[in-house]
Amino acid sequence: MEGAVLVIGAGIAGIQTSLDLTELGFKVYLVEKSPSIGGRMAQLDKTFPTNDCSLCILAPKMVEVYRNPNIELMTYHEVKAISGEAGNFDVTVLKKPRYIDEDKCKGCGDCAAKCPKIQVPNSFDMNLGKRKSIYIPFPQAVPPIYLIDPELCLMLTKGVCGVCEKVCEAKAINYEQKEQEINIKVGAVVVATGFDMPAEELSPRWGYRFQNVVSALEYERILCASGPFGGHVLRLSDEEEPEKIAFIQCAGSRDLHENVPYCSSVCCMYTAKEAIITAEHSENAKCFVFRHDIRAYGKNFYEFTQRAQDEYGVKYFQTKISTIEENPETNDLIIHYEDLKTGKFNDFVANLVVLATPLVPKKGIGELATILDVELDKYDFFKEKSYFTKSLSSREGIFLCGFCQGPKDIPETVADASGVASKVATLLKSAQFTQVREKEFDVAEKQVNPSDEPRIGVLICHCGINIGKYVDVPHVRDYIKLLPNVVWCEDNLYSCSSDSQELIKEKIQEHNLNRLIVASCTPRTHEPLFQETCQEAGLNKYLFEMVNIRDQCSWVHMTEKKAATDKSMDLIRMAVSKSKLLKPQKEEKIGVIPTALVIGGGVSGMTASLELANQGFKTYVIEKEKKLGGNLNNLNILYPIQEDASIFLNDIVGKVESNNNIEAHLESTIKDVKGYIGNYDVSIIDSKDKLTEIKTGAIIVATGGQEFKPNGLFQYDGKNKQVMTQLEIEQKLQDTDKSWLEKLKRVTFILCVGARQKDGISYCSNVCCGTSIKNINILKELNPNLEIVVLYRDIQMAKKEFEEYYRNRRKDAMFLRYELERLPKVTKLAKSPEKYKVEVFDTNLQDNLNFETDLIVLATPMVPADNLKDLAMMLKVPLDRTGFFLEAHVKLRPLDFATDGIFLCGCAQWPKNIQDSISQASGAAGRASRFLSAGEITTSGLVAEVTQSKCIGCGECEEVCPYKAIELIEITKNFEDVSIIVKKSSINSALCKGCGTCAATCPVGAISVKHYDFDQIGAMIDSYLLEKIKNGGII
Amino acid sequence: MARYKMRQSANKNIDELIAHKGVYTTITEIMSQPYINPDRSLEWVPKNIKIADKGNVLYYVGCIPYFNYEFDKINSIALSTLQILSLIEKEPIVLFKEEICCGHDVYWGQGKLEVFINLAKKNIEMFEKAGISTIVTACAECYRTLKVDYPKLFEDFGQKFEVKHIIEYIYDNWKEGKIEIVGKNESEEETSFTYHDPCRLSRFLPEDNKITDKSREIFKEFEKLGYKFTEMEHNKSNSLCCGVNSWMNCNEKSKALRYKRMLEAKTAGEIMLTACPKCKIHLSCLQDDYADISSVEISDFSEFLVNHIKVIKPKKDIEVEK
Repeated sequence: MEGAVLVIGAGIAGIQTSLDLTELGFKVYLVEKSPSIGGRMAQLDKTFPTNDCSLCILAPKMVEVYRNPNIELMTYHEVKAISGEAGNFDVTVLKKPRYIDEDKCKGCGDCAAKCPKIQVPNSFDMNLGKRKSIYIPFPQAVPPIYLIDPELCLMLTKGVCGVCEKVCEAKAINYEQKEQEINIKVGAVVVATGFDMPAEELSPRWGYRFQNVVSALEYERILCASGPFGGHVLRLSDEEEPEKIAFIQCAGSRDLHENVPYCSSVCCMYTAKEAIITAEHSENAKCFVFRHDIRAYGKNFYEFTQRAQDEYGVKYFQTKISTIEENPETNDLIIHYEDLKTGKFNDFVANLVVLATPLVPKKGIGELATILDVELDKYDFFKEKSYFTKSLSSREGIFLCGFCQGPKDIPETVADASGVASKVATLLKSAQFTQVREKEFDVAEKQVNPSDEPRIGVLICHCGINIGKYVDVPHVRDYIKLLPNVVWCEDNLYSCSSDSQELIKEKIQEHNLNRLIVASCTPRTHEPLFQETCQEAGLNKYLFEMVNIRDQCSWVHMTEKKAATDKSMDLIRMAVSKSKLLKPQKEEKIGVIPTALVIGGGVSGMTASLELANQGFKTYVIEKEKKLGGNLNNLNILYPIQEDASIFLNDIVGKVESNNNIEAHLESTIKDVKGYIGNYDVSIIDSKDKLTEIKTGAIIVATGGQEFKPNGLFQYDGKNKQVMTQLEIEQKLQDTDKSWLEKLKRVTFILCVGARQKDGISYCSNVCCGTSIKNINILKELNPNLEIVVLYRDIQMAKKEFEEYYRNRRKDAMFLRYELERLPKVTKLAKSPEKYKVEVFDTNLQDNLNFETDLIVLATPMVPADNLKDLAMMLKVPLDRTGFFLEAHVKLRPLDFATDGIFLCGCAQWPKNIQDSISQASGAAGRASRFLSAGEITTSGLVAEVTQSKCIGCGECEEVCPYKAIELIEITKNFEDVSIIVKKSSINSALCKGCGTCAATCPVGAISVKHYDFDQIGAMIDSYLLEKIKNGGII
Repeated sequence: MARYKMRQSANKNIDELIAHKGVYTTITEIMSQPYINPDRSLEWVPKNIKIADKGNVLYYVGCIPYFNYEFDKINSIALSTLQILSLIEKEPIVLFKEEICCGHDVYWGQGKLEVFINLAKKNIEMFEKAGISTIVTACAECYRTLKVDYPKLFEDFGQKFEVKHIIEYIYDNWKEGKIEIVGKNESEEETSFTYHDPCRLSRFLPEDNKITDKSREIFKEFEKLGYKFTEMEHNKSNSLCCGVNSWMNCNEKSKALRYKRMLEAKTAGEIMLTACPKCKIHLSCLQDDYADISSVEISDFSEFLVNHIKVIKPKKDIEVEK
């Protein structure tokens, strides 16, 4: 069995699963067709609903992949063949020629600056921007290695030019490079190939052929500050700022004539986001959204679409589009549409049109499926093994995650990716930690005492001409050389090259250096490299300091060489001052108890427990009810698989009960939690008040949700037997006696009862529409004569399976659309048998309707489980304003809390269906098992520490710590005639991230962050200011 | 000056000893600059009380309104004092919107003599401009600074201005027969109370200053009203410290000292009066941490007295008598 995994596709799905896999002890080959990792997320401007800059939150992960010694990055590679079976696959990967020696290229960009080839469209900018024929896709590309476009390069096509070869100081250009086949052995394959947005394939009525009609992905690039227009919202025909921008939703999707019958799931949200960002960018632009349903499928998403309207003045029209035409003189667009609110046909003139075109599987998915020998579904997405095991493909050992399986948003993708890592770990358990490497150093660490005379070495990098052209490096070197305590200073072409590492090691020995400074590019990418070199030479890595004279000097002061040079001298001088005060730091190892505790025994809790148990970890699952199963116990039939819920329930409960690694505690709740990641002491209490103490390394919160009881709404009061909620009818349908059904003539479903309101519950809980649609059909089958009326606002069926499921059932009922402003009215007509009158204004017909009904079913939102506040307090994790648990980051860390060691999944995070709950539960198990498999965690040397004698125990640090790493402990102090208990701050270095918030907050200066203490920062400031004063620069 | 030199030599880094990372003393230093005058919020002044920017009697508020941002209800000391003053005085009381710090903390805490002198100069200029003859304060530190330290720097300060702590001010008016101490204790049982002498109103004053005795005389009057005054074990110039002065950092030693003080207070009475806003802050702060001493009600002298003062004759009559 192989301890390595092949991951195909390096978008956010592939990146996340690769990172998780390495932490679980596997080597990863990350194959990416394009020259850089990052995928679609790197192209996005912002992410909803927080409007974080997309690349800003993604780039750290890309860098993490780049720096990870156990990920072999194979960009610009393609999988060609695969043979073997789960556990032992042989894979052939084709390495496409970059015409650049990857080991030599330092990404300085000198070549592209000089490349004479006229610029051509840049596919990263959706062909709106331009690039040279030697290029990197975008400035933050990983790896930062250039490549030559063989179809454009004059040297490769005509044999003339060769400028890049002449200017490349690193001698990295190789026009002779050929395709190369690489054979690798892996135990498992994860497919994460993502999606395309081919607007050119739309039918002509959408008008994509016109210049000022763009796809949403193209518009993302237009909005982006690093995009073709530098973040100015301009249209293509005249590069003028558009005043009226029309966003067309469902452009080609949910439409049988366009071959894309499913809903792409994310368009309603990104449209709202793009409209908001547009409003923020440009005061003159007015945004108009031509919508169908609003499908805001995720946490706090629905409110986001409301904010677009209420706060940013975005106008929404409920319409059907007939055609989009161009006015050839103005290049404006004329949109012919039907207003579904008035039933009238109108024209709308816009300066720019943005189409939310369908998202489809990545081009080439068919070939890949053939190579991998796995099945595709009817939409050409990869087909899951079964609906509830969606991470498994049709072939054993090949796993799926992300958009290659169907439309989903980033957090779902990230959860999938972590879940897949867990599945792989279970499969390859016996080969875990066999092929990963951890660096060991043979040179013993040199003792450096604070009293030792600092002997500082400084290496200054030219980065080809990337720095050297804009900063007078030799001048800087001569200046730094003369500073006190600097015993060695040199400049060189590429400080990051391997021979430079040898040079550094040599000089550390030769000059007996006890501090090292490299002035070059960003520490984010290169600090670990230099730190490792120091360690190889026996120097503690915290005695290294890096100065970024590329980003901060040569890049931002490109036109002012003197300023760039002066600033470089200032920055390095400041680093020298700090460097003198650096101390060697230790990294501690803390043991992890290899067991997990799962709170909640519903479908999420059980899935998470099974995942962990199957990976070999003892798992405790705590359930407050008498039996496992949670809400699943109340369900009748599961959609869209139309299977009896009890079959699924009995199956999963059976697996949990028969698993030797799982210990279930029923009728139990958490009483107390002590400890921290890897070492929790949890007390649980059962219904007989018996206490059990559990020691555990990780905790997963899977407390689930519950149905909102709509007391007082639509005659629901608990007494009227014929007005019930969805769960209540589910339970009734489970009775064997169904004679009650035969007496019914007409049933009315009311959706969004108490949800998506202006006051109270403002969110959409995502699952109620699906449940209602399912139940219509079940009722109809049981009693075909039954008349069913559905009163709805929007139908929330945003999953690839759901559109068809919904369309098939639409005929079973009459669908009437109502608005929040005009709620339906229900009056009771008769007591026995109960009869009701329903009055509703149907916006589709634009008319008032009255009818009688025997039974009313109310679809109410899901709300959090009871008593979560106490649990949240014990675990020291936050709840959001709706009462669900608040994850560390809505996009990229949906399963983590900011506090390490505690994870969440399922409806504890947000209402979701069973498939998503399972996916999240596997993901949470994957996240937790990273620590459990490693057996120990290494604390950073860069943590905060408290000087206890100064601490006054005020507790302000505890309050501000975002990672809950600080606790107040009580100490008894004895004085002459009194003894008092005083509180002292105590920082847990296993949880501390070294952010320094506590140090800045402490009113008495009792806290300092190692490696960034007040003296060190003070020394830098002093060094800067004193020099300026000396030169009369300031004051 | 010996004291500040001692402090300067004892600690290499004086700033490290300043609490709250020196935010209050930094404000002070900014105020000492010429041309920089604070624009104080006078929101705490009740609408029915008339104040002026020129006149005879100045209420020198001190830092209280600044502290109010951080500590609960400290403004009520200023409020009570102002209410007492305006009850007794016939002219509106002078309050400076641009009032600056007296300089006590930078002088005692950090030994920054130059800053202190600048502040003193600015203050004197302001007093003169407004035509002040009497300066009343409810802060022990302001009092000591204006009463003792300013005259050391500026010899004629004592002749130009009469500086009174609110204790003295009430005492003098009472002795002159302008006011009486009234207001029976509403509770059925006798309420016992004690008094914590701030250092700046006891051992840090010249011996001829009788403020410790004056306060006792007033407290004795309260025995007629259903209160009982009891001394703590350590009192007057021998009283225990509130822990810290001048916004120096507190620590467990200072806490222990305070704790001891609070135990004494608990034995002596239900209410503990003090006459320094910082004593009140420090001693109340400790009550949050130690439940066994939280029963003692800590009140400022002015807060306690504000409901017990009655002006004997209408102001007009006093005028006629003169």
